[in-house]
Amino acid sequence: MNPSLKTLVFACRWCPLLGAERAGRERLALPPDFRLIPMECAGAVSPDLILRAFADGAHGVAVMGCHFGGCRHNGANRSAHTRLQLLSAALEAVGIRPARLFVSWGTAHEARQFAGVLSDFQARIRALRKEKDLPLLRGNFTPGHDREMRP
Amino acid sequence: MSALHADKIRAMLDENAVTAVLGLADGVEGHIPRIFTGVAEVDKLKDGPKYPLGKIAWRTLRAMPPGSRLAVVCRTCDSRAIREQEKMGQFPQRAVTCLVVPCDTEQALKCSCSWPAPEQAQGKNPVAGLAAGIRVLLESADRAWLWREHMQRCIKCYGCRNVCPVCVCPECRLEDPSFVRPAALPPSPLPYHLLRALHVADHCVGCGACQDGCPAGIPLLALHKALSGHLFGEAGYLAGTDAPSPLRRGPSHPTGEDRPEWKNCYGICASKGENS
Ligand code: SF4
Ligand code: SF4
Repeated sequence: MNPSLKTLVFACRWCPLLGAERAGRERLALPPDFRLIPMECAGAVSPDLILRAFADGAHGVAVMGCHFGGCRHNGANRSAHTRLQLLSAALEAVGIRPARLFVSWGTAHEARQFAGVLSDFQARIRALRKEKDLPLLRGNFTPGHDREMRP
Repeated sequence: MSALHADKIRAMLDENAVTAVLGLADGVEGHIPRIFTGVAEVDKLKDGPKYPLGKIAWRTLRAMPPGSRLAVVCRTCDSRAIREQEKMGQFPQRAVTCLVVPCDTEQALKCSCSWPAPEQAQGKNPVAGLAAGIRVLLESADRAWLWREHMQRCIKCYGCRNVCPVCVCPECRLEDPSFVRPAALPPSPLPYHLLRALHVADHCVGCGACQDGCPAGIPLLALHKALSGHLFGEAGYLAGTDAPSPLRRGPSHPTGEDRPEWKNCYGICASKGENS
């Protein structure tokens, strides 16, 4: 069996959440190990929450919102995008693969789109399975943990 | 103390343009920050060495009665930090006057500083000046190992946050137990170091006070430079200038006179006889 790939999805309720709900109703094949948190707006997803999700064991975090220009909250998705770019620069700086963060705007509105986008993302994280980047900086500093991971 | 600055300070105190002056003076051992209010004491002020005065200026001004004005004799980094504090609305505009002592090349190299003198019209990319020994922290393929080794030495003293001149929130997320677990040592690097770096990213002036103050010798400046470099590359933004932060976008809806005239209610109220 594939080891679990814990994926956390923050979905804005105006667009990707509709896709997610429809995907569920249409019984599309969805990976079993993702959890979705509905948000009023993707702009409410603070990078802090994503850092916490990574520290608490998520292998990948996705933030999905409406297309640019389609935000119901005063273009907050653009601001979110700027913040998330900065977050990915921070991850990159300390050696965590920014590919673990997935950001998508207006691409998951339909059921099939949502299922497709999510499984693409999981394939991307699966490709990083052997990388030690995230486990290294997750904060498990107990002695011995090191030896296990040292290549 | 340069004669030019000394004269300026004397004149400002004479005219009551400033209430007090913050600068360095001889202490028992080396230099210590001091606050002066009298013209006679100006001679005691010293130019150097580099000393983080930004946070001290902020604290001093907030402890002074409203309407007070402070002059600070400091380096460019601190003057830029004070500009950031002003932009964040920490005190009224022009409550602080900075008298800048430019840094020499040696000091600039030590700080990896891209903007050591105020005459420079505009700073350069903050990552450009990084020494090769520090650059490896941002570029080597196994830098996660390097960062891990550094970050596991952290004793969670909060020194990096306390000394930072632009870290001024009344409540700090680093003290929120749902982000930083109390009593866990060392703290988890992502919600501690990265979170702090992100929170100050668009205000960080690269003064290096956090790194210099860290008792564990963690190269925090490299992380901050990387983020400042990102904002410079993406938006041409440099902290300490008058430019607004790219992370704090204003309202995108038209405001002021462009707003629809609600008084008319587009005729809806009129039909009910309620129009004013
Ligand atoms: S270099 Fe460190 S202390 Fe200076 S502004 Fe940036 S985060 Fe704050
Ligand atoms: S100053 Fe250094 S040891 Fe203290 S909390 Fe900051 S990084 Fe950790």
